[in-house]
Amino acid sequence: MITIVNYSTMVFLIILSTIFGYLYWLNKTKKIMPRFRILPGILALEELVGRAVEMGRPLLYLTGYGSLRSDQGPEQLGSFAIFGETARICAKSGAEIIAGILNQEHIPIITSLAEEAYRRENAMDSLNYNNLIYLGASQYSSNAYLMVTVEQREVVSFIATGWYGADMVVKGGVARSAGCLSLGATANPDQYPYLVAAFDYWLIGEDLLSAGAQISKDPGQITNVWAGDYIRFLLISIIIIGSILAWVGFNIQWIFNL
Amino acid sequence: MSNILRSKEFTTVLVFILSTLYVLHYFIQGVEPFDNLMLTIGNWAIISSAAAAGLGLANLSIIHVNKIRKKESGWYWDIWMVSVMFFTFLLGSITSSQSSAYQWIYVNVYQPLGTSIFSLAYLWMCSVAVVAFRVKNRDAAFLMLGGLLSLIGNIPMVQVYTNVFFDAKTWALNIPVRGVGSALRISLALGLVLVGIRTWLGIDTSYVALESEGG
Repeated sequence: MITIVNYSTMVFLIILSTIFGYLYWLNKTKKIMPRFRILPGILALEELVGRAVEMGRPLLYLTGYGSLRSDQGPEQLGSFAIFGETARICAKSGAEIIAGILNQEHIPIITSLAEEAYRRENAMDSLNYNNLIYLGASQYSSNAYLMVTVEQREVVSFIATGWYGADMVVKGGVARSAGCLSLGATANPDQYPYLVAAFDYWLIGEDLLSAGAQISKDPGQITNVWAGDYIRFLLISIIIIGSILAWVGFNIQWIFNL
Repeated sequence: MSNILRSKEFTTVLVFILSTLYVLHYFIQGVEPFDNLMLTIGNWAIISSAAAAGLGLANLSIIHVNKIRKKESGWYWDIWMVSVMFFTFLLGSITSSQSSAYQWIYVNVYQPLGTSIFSLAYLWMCSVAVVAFRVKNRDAAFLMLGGLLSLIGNIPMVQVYTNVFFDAKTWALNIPVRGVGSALRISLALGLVLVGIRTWLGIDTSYVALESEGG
């Protein structure tokens, strides 16, 4: 027998899609254009690459462990957007980029993004495939590689984006102790404090998820982030109203049982 | 044909079709052919991901063999690396990953090395805490006070004399910290859904190719 399940999620998705569709229409017809602030972490990419160019030393980029088949997938997509842009700036300015790949699923994606970036800047000859290295899907191997590479190759700029566990603090700490300028980005809430404490620039949560929109400035992506802000206001209102109703004695539990 | 398979359009259409199927399957259940189709797609995804491990093996082999051939600095470590990698791979393939020989390597070599590297996290936690707790402005002072409160509240000896710090720390963790944490997680969950929609509709294809002409 055919059954429809998860009604509340369906209603939420319909509301979200309606708001997104309406804002997209407003944006397309130029009726309202949202103001969009590029975050310091994204603006710092030029500085990080510039430092590598000025000092003639490489930039080390770790792209995160997150599996694309789990809820870590979206932050990995944000990580790929930042990696693509960083590779493009490196190709344009002649900086050497070393990319540490931390999940085997990412190998073809990182390779194709690097190729695309270097092809766009007509610098395919400069792309060193030996610098696109798989480090094993383990924090131990990536930490060991980071410590060795920072020391041996005298890395001056370090970027770690995507999903990370407890090793985020090690990566930031090692980079800081070696005098690297660093950017960290993750949407794993448990790692936010270490990210902020250990890195020079950071992108947390939604900052990373909206990286693609910030870099491309594509109206569709910007509107998508904009719709998210409206939904947040809606959710905050619902939370406040729900709290007041629960406080005065109304039973709102049935909503959660839908 | 390979050009079509590698094109951005092909990937975007494929992602759209698969995402639509997954979303529909999340809401509609009880249609047996549909359930079977989704099970098969799920199995394909698992097999593709497992096959990607072969890519990792190939990637490391090519890079390290190149280094050995060119006799780059530290090339003898690359010989060690490739030998150990293939030895472990062959041992696991021939005997199974549950065999005593394979498990011996895992338990007596891999795990102690991993734990040694992991233990460095505590060193760096202390190191970055020192940096974070430097009182440079008002915000940093609040952070330092919060950290101090948590620290004192967790000292058993202090609790012998007074429960004030313990109660204050517990209140801070249960009310403001949990509230902010929930707000962050709700916001993050919404962000994940929005990325899903962007990817589903093919609005964000940054994982296939660059969209940007410059930041």
